[in-house]
Amino acid sequence: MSNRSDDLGTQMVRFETAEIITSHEAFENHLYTVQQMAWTLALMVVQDGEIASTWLRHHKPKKGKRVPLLERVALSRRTRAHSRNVADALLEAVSSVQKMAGVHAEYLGAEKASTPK
Amino acid sequence: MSKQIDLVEAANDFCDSDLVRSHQTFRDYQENLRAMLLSISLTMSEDSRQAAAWLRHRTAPDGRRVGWLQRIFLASRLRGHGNNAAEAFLEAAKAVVRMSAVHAEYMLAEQQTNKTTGAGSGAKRQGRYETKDGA
Repeated sequence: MSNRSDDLGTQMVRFETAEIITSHEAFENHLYTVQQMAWTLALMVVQDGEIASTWLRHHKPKKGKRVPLLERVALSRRTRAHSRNVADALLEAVSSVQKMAGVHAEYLGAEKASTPK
Repeated sequence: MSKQIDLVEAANDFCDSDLVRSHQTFRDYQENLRAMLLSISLTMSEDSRQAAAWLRHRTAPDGRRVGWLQRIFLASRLRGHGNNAAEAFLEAAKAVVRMSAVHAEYMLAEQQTNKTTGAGSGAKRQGRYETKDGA
């Protein structure tokens, strides 16, 4: 599958400028692009959540005191958990898109089976 | 509700955002992510509607057509799944909002800590009036 090295920006360009309804192949490609994009996004969100939660756990303001330890740890854990929820929702979107691809494949099969005029 | 943003620009910002430099950059990052997810969701639902309309009216180049009922049935299923995907993106945006709520809580806790124990840290002596810039 794709990873962070495949730039999200280029994927987004492909997502926005896709010609979805010109042909079956174009539509399939579009679905694939959406899946890849959501997958990359999920991965990045999880990584960023880890970074942010580590940062919050060790954060010391420039002046003044830190937040008490237990509270700090609890809040950082919640941040990470929410970022994982974001990724979960994105993966759910991926599975919906996969179902779309399934329906499209079914349509293709029905079209092949029908008699040409 | 959501402002119109350029998806590509938002994605590039998202890629090279420096999220842990300060509280402000972290907030900007979250706001950007939220706007991006909402915009993706809108695009997704629009796309699924277009694709469903296309499948419903489609005649293949060689004149083949899927049967009427089946065509409509498949198109509506496609649209439904597309809407589900859009909804999942919305759910992701919701989780981002919750994450930013946690961050707000953190900032509040930081403020509270510095307020209640200001005497010891020397930032503020007792008996002073509290001013806006903390002087």
